[in-house]
This record gives sequence, structure tokens and C-alpha cells, in this order.
Amino acid sequence: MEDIYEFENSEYRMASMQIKAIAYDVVTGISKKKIALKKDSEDSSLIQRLTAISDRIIEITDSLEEELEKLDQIEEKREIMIPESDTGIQEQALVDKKKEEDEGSPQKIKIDLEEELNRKQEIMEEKEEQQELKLPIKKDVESETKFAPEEPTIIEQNDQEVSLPDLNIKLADTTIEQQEGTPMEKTQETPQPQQIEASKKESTEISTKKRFQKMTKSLSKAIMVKPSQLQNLRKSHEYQEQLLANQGIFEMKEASEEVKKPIAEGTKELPEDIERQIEDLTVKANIYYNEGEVDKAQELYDKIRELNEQYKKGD
Amino acid sequence: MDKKEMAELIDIDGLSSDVEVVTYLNSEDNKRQYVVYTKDEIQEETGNQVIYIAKIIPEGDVFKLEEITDDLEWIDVQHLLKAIANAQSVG
Repeated sequence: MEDIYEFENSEYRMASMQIKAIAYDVVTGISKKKIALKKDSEDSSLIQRLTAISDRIIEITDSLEEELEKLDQIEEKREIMIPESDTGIQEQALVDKKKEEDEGSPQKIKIDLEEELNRKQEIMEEKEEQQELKLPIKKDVESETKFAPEEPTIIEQNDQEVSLPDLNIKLADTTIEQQEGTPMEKTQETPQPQQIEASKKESTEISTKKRFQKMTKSLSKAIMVKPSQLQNLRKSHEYQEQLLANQGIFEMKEASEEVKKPIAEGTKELPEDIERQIEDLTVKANIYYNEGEVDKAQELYDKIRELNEQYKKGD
Repeated sequence: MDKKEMAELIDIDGLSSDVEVVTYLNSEDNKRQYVVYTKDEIQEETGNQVIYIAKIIPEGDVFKLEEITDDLEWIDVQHLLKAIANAQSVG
């Protein structure tokens, strides 16, 4: 649950970053020892050995990172290779992938689910007690909230979190409940028209309202997204709506209103290769700085700034 | 300014609420369509927001919403979502 916001990071990318962080700690420790040895004017051969070890750690970390990157690329390619039209094969591939993942860490999933369900149950019990004390009249809301602990989506959400770590799958009601301490009815799909309308008045141009009728009491699948991701999704709205119109779901728009595929503007995120380069430079610069080699560190910091500026100009 | 589409969400008990339609999704085989909506549930600390996804079953003036219960289908939907949400340049 801690890394739910790592939406765009792949599994191996995360591992790579963690390894780098550990390596950085080790190398920093070695640097400190080297500085201490230099001060004591002890055997220079020992310092040299420490330097060699430190260099080797960096070297290994870099090569490991490359390997993890390759793994990522293989996985990506594997997804792309599945033909779009052949849904049978695609589904089979997904089944296999899921099976692999499930087999990989069955215990972990089970434990996570149990923990999550227990936590959810505790929260629900507390909420129920509070509601009984404070809101005895709201019987209808209470009855609606009571089914939540047994809600199948909780299990599904957890399950999916394991199967696709780069996506931020989270049960919305749990999030809101825990983080904001708001009443349960807010997290359920009960009406909040005033709140929603108020927040949208400024920038909303309301078109003809569609009506969506829920067919079950269960909660819709929910995902937590970053503002930039939400913005991208919003930008795609018109184009996607047109796609659905082409499928006969919605009414077709007039010919003059042909919708172009949106181009995400002003994406502030750096390209992945630049981002990695900056990460590496930062780690190295920090190491130099800790070793007292301020000039070298400064040189790298300048390079980092240069890369950032270069990207902004290009943008 | 963003042009936002508001929609009416009617639950199984007939209670209705306004939601913002963030976008729609069309499955790669064109067989399934989904609505992505939000109820403005924003996490204060990060500004992150909760979005909901449900399958659209058109029926007259009203679009029926079916929850995604199949794991494989949900994985497909996540791929569709991810492609749009993380796109730097679509098109």
C-alpha cells in the first residue's frame, strides 16, 4: 500500500531504485571510513582497497540496473507482442501471467488480504458504534454500509494490486475513511450533489446530462490517480466519447465536430532516460560531496541543472 | 478551462447523485465500453483523486452500469487506463 502512487514505475524500476539507495548508503559509509583513515594518516593501501570496493559496488549496481531495465523491456515487449485481434490468445496470456504471479507469492497475498479485511472490519465496527450513538435515525445509510466488510471488491482490489504493481489500485472507501476520517456514507456511492456542484461551478460547462443506472449494490472499481494523470484522462474525454459514439453507444457528433486525438500538453515529467541520468548523477555527486571532493560534486550538480534546463527548453 | 461532463448516477435504491465523467474507455476488441467517473474525492495531502470505472450497458435513454467482476477484464481495463493516464503525447 505504501507505493500506491508509483503509477508509472514498473516493478523492476522500483527494485532498481531500492538497490541504488542501499548501494548509496554502503558507499557513503565507506567514504566516511576513508575520510577517517585519511585524517589518521593510516596505511594508504587500505584506503585504496576501500576505494576499489566502493567503485566495484557502483559498478555492480549499474550493471544490475541495466539487467533490471532489460527485464522491464522484455515484459513490455511481451505485452505488445500479443495481437490485438486475437483475444483468445491475449486472454490466455493474461491468464498465464496472472497464474505465474499468483503462484509466485500465494502466502503474501493471503496475509495481505487477511490483514486488510481485519483492519477493515475493525474500522467498520468502530464506525457502526459511532453511528449508533450519533445518528440513530439514519437506518437506511447504516444498512447500506453494513455490507461493505464482505464486499467482494476488497479482495479483488488487493488481488489486482499484487498482479499489477505499477497501477494504483485502491479501494476508494478505505482510503477516504482512513485518511480523512469522514463518515462512511461519503465513501459509498451516496449522493453529494451540493459538494460536487460547488467544486465545479467555476470551470464546468455542463452538457446534456447522461444518466447512468447502477445494476448492483457493489461498488465500482476504484483507482487513485495523480492530478497529472487525471488531467490526461480528462483530455482524452472527447476523443474517447467519439470512439463510443462510433460503436453506437452514444449519438454521433456532427461531422464538423470531428474530434482529434488529444495531445497531452505541458507534461512536466522528464523523459525516463533523462530522469535516470539525473538520478545517477545525483548519487555520484552526493558521494563526491561526502568524500570532500566538492569541485567534482559541483561539476555534476551543474550537469544536472543543465539537463533540467535543456529539457525545459525542448519542452 | 476544462470542459467537464456531469452525469447522473442512480444507484440500485433509486438514489441519484451527480458525478463528473472523466473519460470513457473502449476495449481493444470494441466489445466493451466503460465510463470513468469521479466524485471529487481528493486526498488533501497529495491532491490525488479517486476515479471509478464501470461497464456501460446501453438501454434506451439510460445507460446501465455493470461492475467489473472478472479479473482478466479488469486487467485489460487497467491497461487501457494506464495508456491514457501516463501518455505524454497521444497521437
